[in-house]
Amino acid sequence: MSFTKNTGGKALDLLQNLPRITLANLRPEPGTKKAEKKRGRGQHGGNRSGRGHKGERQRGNRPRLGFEGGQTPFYLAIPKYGYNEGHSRRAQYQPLTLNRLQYLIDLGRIDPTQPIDLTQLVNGRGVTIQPQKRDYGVQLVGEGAGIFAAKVNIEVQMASEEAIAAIERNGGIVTTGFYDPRSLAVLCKPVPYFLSGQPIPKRMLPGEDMVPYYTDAANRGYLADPEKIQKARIALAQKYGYILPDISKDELFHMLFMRKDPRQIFFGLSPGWVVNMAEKKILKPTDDKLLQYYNS
Amino acid sequence: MPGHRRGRSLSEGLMLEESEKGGLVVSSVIGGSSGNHGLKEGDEIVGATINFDQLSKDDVLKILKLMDDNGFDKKVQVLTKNNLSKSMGTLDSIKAPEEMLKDSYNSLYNAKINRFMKDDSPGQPAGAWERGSHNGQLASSFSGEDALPSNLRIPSNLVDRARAERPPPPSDSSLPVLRRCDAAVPVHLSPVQTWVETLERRDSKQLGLVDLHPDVFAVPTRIDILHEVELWQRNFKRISRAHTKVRSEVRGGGKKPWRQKGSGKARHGSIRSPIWRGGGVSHGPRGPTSFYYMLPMRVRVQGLKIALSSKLAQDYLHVVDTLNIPTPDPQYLMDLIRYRHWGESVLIVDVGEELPENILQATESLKTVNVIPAIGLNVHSMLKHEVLVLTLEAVKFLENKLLWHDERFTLLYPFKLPYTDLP
Repeated sequence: MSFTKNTGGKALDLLQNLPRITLANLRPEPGTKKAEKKRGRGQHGGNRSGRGHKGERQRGNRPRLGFEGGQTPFYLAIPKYGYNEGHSRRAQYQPLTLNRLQYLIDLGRIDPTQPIDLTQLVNGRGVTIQPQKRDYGVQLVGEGAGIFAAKVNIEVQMASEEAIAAIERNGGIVTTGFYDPRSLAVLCKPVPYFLSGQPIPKRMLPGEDMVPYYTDAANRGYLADPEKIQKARIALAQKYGYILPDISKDELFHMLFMRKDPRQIFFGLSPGWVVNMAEKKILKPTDDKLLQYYNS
Repeated sequence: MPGHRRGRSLSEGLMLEESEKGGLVVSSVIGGSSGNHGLKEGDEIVGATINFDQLSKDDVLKILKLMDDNGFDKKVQVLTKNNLSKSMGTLDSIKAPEEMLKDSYNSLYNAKINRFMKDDSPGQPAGAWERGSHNGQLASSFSGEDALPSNLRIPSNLVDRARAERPPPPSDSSLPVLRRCDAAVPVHLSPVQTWVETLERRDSKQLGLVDLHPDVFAVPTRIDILHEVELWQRNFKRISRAHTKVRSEVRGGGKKPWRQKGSGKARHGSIRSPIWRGGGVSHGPRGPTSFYYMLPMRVRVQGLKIALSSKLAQDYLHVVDTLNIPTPDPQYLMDLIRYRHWGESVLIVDVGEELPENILQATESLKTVNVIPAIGLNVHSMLKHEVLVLTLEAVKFLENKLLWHDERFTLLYPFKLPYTDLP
């Protein structure tokens, strides 16, 4: 349709000939407001008021939920099994598909010319992380590996082999890093944390069970040996059958090789610093003990 | 027998002749006008219609038998009641279908609808209605798409005469556009336009035009959203402080009034039970109750947009360049409002913390004319006041604030904390 018109269109044209919209003219959409049942009033709500006839039902003395008249109830007859045992101690990683990552980059919600961090993902509303609900970060999932075509420097908490292969095939870099829950909360919502006036905490190292994961070059762990990572890249390229592009000759080489220190949460900000957003200043500690603590 | 009489006088008063092509032509007309059906010399008779309305069964059979006997049955077409439309009076006039429809509609309209329509006001300028209003005009449901269906036409005593005094700007107005839309207007839409006026003089003309963004001032009307927002505005601040005492809270009533058996009275345990006079209330209001709830932010924003659009569509929105008035006299404002046929109550909106003193003083004593800052704009006030007056800065502010919600991310943390992209 080449002619321009307004969304109101015919409705606004009709309005011109209708009475003025006032407080007396407002009404809800017919059918949205259903009159509630008034117990104990009138011919139908009264008499026994919806309670039935005599007995425990009418007198409000029914037994507890699950009681089966004396027969062993279902919830006691079935034996226990630890399906949900320790569920509140299990780490959860929100999946991020390569499809979604490509979608976000295409729409401009994530900038591929800067290192992609969990903060960037949350700012672009790509993932929703709830640190309070045992989320330990984001995991890169290989769905959409066929169409992924972006050169990115991405840091996640877990990554599948296919996803790593897809990113490295396009000349990008994947790193897996660990964030303890407190650091994760700071990472996901930096603005409320800075406004609270507390110094940036130092990132804790992973627990015993996750150390093997993050020191393994196959997972591109941040504690792994860089030489082993290079070998793993070549091995993965051979396994999946693509030529590993040479990143050192890339124009964004400097950005792609940016990595965080194991104790660092934000690029460019060290642990121990206080960010003053109102006056746009950064305060750094000068005390020896503090410096010793934050540099360890 | 009227049919026979008519037939006789017709045949006696006419002289027919066969023309060269084989048709029958009237050569001369003799006799009184009662038999003459308006036939003149030279008329070619093609056919004749007989109306069987008041004829008896025998007469009809006689006529049909006449036709049959003389071998004219193939030229006869018998019409039943189903063939005729009900509004047709006689068979005498057979017109084209469109004419027949129009006639039937006209007769219906004159009989039933016309008496509710008064004459149009003389003040209505011709050609000023670009948006096609049809107040009181005859609008057939068979004519084009501009006409209103009959269930939407309102009787004239509900039509606001004053609205005819302030027509909207025509598309070919010569006045300059003083303000264009700041935000990008979507390609498939076009901005709405209104006049820009001044409050400096009572009888000044319009200064120019202003472009209003269609996604704020021309959104589809949803009365149910306005209703929801209005209810919310009324109820979310409500704290009902009604409180009654339960039987345990009423003073006294711990002791059993009399013994269980033998006193002849009904059995009771306490003098403050709900069945007693002066006893506690069983299911009464308990303490301050809050009716607080929040409608989603986008619903409240949409409510504002709908209220603005409906004000503009019904000609109750006026844009003013500034709120500078010459005198702090309230009478000046009332005169201006009456002169310009604005309406009974006016809500004036401006941006900023410091509004001109004159207008503040003038409206202080007036009940129906009120000034509010633009952040205080709300659906209830807009609907309560008949007319809404915005300044150019207020229009800019409102467009900026209301359009942001169309293209924003979901909130990560509360609005009060700093965002980089907040308007």
